[in-house]
Amino acid sequence: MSSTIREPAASLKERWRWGVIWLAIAAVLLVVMAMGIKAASPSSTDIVDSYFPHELGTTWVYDSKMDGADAGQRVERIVSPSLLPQLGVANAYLRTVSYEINGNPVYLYDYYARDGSDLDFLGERDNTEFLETKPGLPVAKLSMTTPGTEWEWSGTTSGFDAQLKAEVVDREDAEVAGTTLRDCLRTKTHYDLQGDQIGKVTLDVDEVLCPGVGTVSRDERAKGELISYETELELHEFHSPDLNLGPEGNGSQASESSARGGGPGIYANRSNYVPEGTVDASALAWSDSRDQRMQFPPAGRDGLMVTAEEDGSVRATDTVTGADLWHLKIAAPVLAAPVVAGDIVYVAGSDKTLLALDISTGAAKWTTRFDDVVAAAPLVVEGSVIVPTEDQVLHSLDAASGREEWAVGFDAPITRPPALAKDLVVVASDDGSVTALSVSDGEMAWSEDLQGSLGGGPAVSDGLVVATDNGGTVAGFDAATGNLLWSSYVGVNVLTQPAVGGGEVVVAPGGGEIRALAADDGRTLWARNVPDFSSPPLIVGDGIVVLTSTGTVRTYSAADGRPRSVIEPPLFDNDSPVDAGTALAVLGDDLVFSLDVGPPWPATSLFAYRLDGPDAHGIAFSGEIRDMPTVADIVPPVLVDENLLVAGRDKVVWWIPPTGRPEELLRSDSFLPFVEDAGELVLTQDGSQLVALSPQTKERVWEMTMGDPYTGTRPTVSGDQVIVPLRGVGIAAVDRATGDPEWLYRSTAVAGASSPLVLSGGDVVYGVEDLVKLDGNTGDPVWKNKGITTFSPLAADDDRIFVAGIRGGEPSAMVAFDAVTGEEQWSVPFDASILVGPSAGNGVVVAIDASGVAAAWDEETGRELWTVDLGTPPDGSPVIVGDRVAFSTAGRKEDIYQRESRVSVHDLMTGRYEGSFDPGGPSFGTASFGASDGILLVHADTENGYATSLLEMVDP
Amino acid sequence: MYEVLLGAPIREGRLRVRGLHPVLRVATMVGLVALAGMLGSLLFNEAWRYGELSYLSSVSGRAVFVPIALIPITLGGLCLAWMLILSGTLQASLAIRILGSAFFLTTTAFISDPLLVELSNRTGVSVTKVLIRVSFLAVPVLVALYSAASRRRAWEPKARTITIVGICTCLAIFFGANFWLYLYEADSGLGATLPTLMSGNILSLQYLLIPLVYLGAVGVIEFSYGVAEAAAVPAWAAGRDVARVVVLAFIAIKLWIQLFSHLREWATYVSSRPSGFLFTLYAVVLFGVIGALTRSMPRDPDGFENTKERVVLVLIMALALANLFNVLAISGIEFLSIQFGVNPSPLERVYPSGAVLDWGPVVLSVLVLAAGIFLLIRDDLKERYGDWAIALTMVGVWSLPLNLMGLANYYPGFNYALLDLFVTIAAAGYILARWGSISTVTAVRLGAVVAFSWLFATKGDFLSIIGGWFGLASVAVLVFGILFTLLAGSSFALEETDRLPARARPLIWVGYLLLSATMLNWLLTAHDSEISGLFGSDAILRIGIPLAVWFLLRRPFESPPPATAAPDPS
Repeated sequence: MSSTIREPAASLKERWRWGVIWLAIAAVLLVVMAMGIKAASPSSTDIVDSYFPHELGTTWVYDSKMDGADAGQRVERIVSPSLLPQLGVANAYLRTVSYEINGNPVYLYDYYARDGSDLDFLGERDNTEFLETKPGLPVAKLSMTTPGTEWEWSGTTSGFDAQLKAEVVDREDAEVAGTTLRDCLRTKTHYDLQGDQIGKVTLDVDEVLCPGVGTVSRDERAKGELISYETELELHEFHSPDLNLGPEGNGSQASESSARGGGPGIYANRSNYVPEGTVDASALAWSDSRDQRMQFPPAGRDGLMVTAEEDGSVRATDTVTGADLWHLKIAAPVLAAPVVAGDIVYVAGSDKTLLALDISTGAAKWTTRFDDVVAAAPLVVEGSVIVPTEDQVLHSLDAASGREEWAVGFDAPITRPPALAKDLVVVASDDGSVTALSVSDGEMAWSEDLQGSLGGGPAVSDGLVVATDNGGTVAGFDAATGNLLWSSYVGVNVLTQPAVGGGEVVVAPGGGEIRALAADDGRTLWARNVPDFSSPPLIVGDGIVVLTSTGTVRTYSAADGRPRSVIEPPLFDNDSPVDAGTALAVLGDDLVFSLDVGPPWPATSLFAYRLDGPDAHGIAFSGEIRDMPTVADIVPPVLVDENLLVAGRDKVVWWIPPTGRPEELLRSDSFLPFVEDAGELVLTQDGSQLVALSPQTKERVWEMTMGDPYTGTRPTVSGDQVIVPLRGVGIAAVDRATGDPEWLYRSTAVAGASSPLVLSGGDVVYGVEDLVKLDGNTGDPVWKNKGITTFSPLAADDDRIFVAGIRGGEPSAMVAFDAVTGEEQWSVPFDASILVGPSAGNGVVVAIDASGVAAAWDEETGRELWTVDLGTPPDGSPVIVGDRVAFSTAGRKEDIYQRESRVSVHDLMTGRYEGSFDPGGPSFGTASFGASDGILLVHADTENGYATSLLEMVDP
Repeated sequence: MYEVLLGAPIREGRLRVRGLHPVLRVATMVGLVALAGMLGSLLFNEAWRYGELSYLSSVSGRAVFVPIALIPITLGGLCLAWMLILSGTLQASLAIRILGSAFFLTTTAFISDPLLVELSNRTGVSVTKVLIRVSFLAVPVLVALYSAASRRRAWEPKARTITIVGICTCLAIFFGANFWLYLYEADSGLGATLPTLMSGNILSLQYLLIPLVYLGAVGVIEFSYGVAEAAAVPAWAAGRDVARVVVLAFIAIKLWIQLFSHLREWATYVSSRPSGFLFTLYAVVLFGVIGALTRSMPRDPDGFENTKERVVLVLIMALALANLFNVLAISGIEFLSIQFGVNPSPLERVYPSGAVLDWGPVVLSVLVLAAGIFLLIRDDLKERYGDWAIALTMVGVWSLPLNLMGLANYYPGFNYALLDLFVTIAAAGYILARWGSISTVTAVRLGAVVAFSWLFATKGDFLSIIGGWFGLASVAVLVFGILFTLLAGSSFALEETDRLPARARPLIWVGYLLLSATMLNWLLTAHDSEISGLFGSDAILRIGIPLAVWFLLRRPFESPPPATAAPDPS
């Protein structure tokens, strides 16, 4: 049994007392919660943040002068948050600086981080190395608002010893793009620098910093023993989430519907309908495997692709050449599919921003910040960008300036992209209401409700608006009036975007079915079971295209739903788990689909198939990824039958079978510059000794003195001989089985590092200090070309020898020699990268320079056939396999989170891009690249550990 | 009108703190203030998002964020809620103490062993990690020590005080240290793990909120009933002719708005969703038949209001039990995994989660139905439990086919507007058929039923529309339901039983509401849950419809008593 307490009567005094207690409790709880909120909230922008804005995407464009002459534009951008484990810093950010010197582009990466009241400059990186500034150089201080504030610093920066003295000298106004900026600070900074390359230099910097903008002008005067210069920078364009300063009219005026722009929904009407095209399983145009998962289908147009990856990376790729056009990191994750309209790409970051980026450079044209994050891809139409945000508001922005034109609130979130119906924008909110508003002023034209909450849509075609509800009803509305034209129940869970076009509405109710309805009355035309159906259907020409969850693309006849073709994903191996990635996209004439692949393979693979016919030569990759016990140091692993041979950074020569445990063949005290397959023996260097090992017994079969280990100097196997470069001594030929000497060519040359090249007849070419050809049998010189030195491997084809080398004081060049006479045949300027040589075959010689520009020349004439800027320096020499060439580039190394090293494959004759593979992973180490018997060997330290990818190029 | 709508229900059913021990009273007041704050936060939850957001995860390509200001609020709310619940269980029996501690351990284990990436070792971080583990495990230890000490009656009061202080201290350290670690991570620039952990955990525990959502639904239905009742107040005083004309006019207007001006839509609906039409018709027929058969059942001698609270709580627990059990089982596995390093995979494979969620509701609805029929057919019980019998039968007979159809993945579709239309047409037919003989009472009752049916069919949207005028979020309906339950349906929290004495109940009840509201606030602000969607799709459908009919049958609209007839219990 239960009883109930009854409350006693309360006196007035007691009521008052308890009333006060109620209030006191409320007050205490409020104070505690306020303190908690204050502690959790990031400190509001302070002086330092204000004078050095560092929100992602912030862009400065300066007019620059060098020694009084116009030096073009200098663009600075905040491109990435950054983790610098070597400095124990996790909250750094990265600012890129790009400008030109004598017409050559220069890219620098500057690292900054807050340290209490200071903002410190931590160092800079060019394409090859990180130069730490030690200790952090304070470029701004909390106390700097008062004129007269001074601070000093001494340490090393950019490799120089330096002392700094800085002073805030004045507070003044400044003008940028017609806008007057108040409370700007003029600072004067004096540096004393000293270094081997520059001698003693004094540097005086006169800079004006404005709140919310940063540097608006900077004059720099350097005077020294070896160098003197004057530079001037004047800010003329600035874009951050909170401020955009000139020039107006940067944005796009183009309609998104004017070009095949990617996804989702392909066009501005979100119809998922491509009027013309055929999907052909043999028409793979290219493939692109990346280590970061894609969040959304790519956007772009013919020949251009913009992708948004899980880590906030936004990348633009030329899909004709494979060139990496630009790369920007915005606040992760990207929140909506990027949209390309005209020469602008719109992307939404997690910091509540929408960025309008120049499609050719990635620089911000404007940035807008909302009250909440963007909820779906924007609609770009006739000078307006219409975008919903999570706070249930639809915004229209001026495409040129990013300024808000109108905003309309809704009762429920809008998580599907708005669709265009002539001069109306149609939005469907999650509660199932479908609303049309005027594009020009946001005035509501009509609003109708679905029977349930929203499933998919809206999609617009020929005056019909289609949307589905989660109860299984497909509804067709008159786009002009909103009148319900028809309603059709098709089954539950119609959650994907419908496709509307060609007189049909194609929907995908749950249960693995696609169903076609008549667009005029909603009656069912046909239904077809599709196993493992995944992404929204697409109508292409007279066919329906769907992507299944296992990554298979299936096509059906739009007329009757009969199956037409199946594209199996041309993926690495049959065991890798595969899931369908993002929705289908169309870039110009390429149908693009993505697959998410399980480890150890790259996270996402994109495949593009031509819609305009089978004239495509793309490749995919197959093979395996083998775990490695170590990281290969500079030289790539060697494939011996199915075993990998690795000279590890741990100074161990490893023998790694396909299955079973790796075996140690040799453990050395010094670094291992190479490992070489010599038939039944393995060659490596242990200290000064060249050692031939038996991989079976691990015994040293023979050894000889070779000199100190030197990177790039390695022997070459030629039939029964081993040709051994002996630095400062010459070149020797020894018997491969016994190590017995056969001949010695004496040369004291040491300038250069190369391995001997064995020509088809057995003769040997060597390129240290002089380029010399030796008789393979006797070691006698056949010809000598004095003064050519190379630090990279040589290449030969059809009686020609190709050298990326230096002659005397001349700029480095790619030089072709007649292999018979030694005469120089042609020469072209070429900035060679150390240890990376040319490759030749099929009448073409290819090479990649130190900055990552790949080029091909006609072997006979030296005529340039093509060039492709791959963006970052090479990891190894190009590999020619048949009529294709593969390059490996190192990727940017801004921090451990950011690396996009990749192997890209191109048509040898035209340079056309055919496929790429990103081994992924953090960038503590360097990838290495080689090939054996047509199998590409890509070694990298991936997120899953050290691994070598053994890749075969597959032509589907 | 106010008296009918709010005055009497609140006087009868509100939670009372006067009469409690002063310390318990203050503790309950703290909980109520915090609960009021949390409900207020729920109403304006979008405002949190104007501040900085922290990324949590992506669901189907949609990124989920939580405002970082919500992290201390949520930790504070959870801390206070557990202080109340655990302090309350200390006043109760051993079994309830054990249950409370187990509930705390399993549902809070997710932040009991923080994962943290450190760029450099810091003593403070290591110490904090230890503090978190110790304070977490100290809670059940203190409860065990108290249980042992309280065997000696003389020690019991002091032991309880010391234990409550100890538990509250441990909880403050536990949640406070987690917050400190979060601040450390956020400040160091590394991605903070706490928000993701909290999100994952709250998401996995969200089905614990089902009772709250169901309670909110019942609250809204009761309030709708009250509105209809209050609207009918002036009509009781009218003459017969006026009453029947007014009611007929009201029904005619309603039919014009709902039926005649939307004939085309209704035709489209019936042709495209015949299953929805038939299923809604089935509901009307089913409840009509049950109502007719049980018209003569005797009333509960305890009075309808007391019975109602118990019936509602029992039915809600019965309908939610499978989900609650599943959440606790999975949380228990997680607890073992986190605390003892047990590999959860074998346990997860063995535990039949899918079967529990699929078949559990079916079994439970069979049990509810069986209990209802048992009470209906036993003459010795139906005298005392007539109200119980009808409620159990209605809920059982309604939810069983719903659960079976759910198992078969078949959803015929239920149309509330159509249900309302059927009710209205039936009322119109009745009033026209009996035009000559209809009494004032019948006419007014019919009018009130039609008004209630209209309000019910909106599933509380009439409240969200009103809330929208004041800028309140759409969750206002649910918040209103919870608030109405707290104000008008909490008298059970003052009852006394041996296992759960009255001094324990307010603390546990307010603690549970605060815990649920805190989690709901997180989920809704993060836009990370469908739980509020359950309000319409599940709560109103499964329990709201049969209980609405039950209200009409067992508490028919009556003319209001004279104002003086409502004495204050005090």
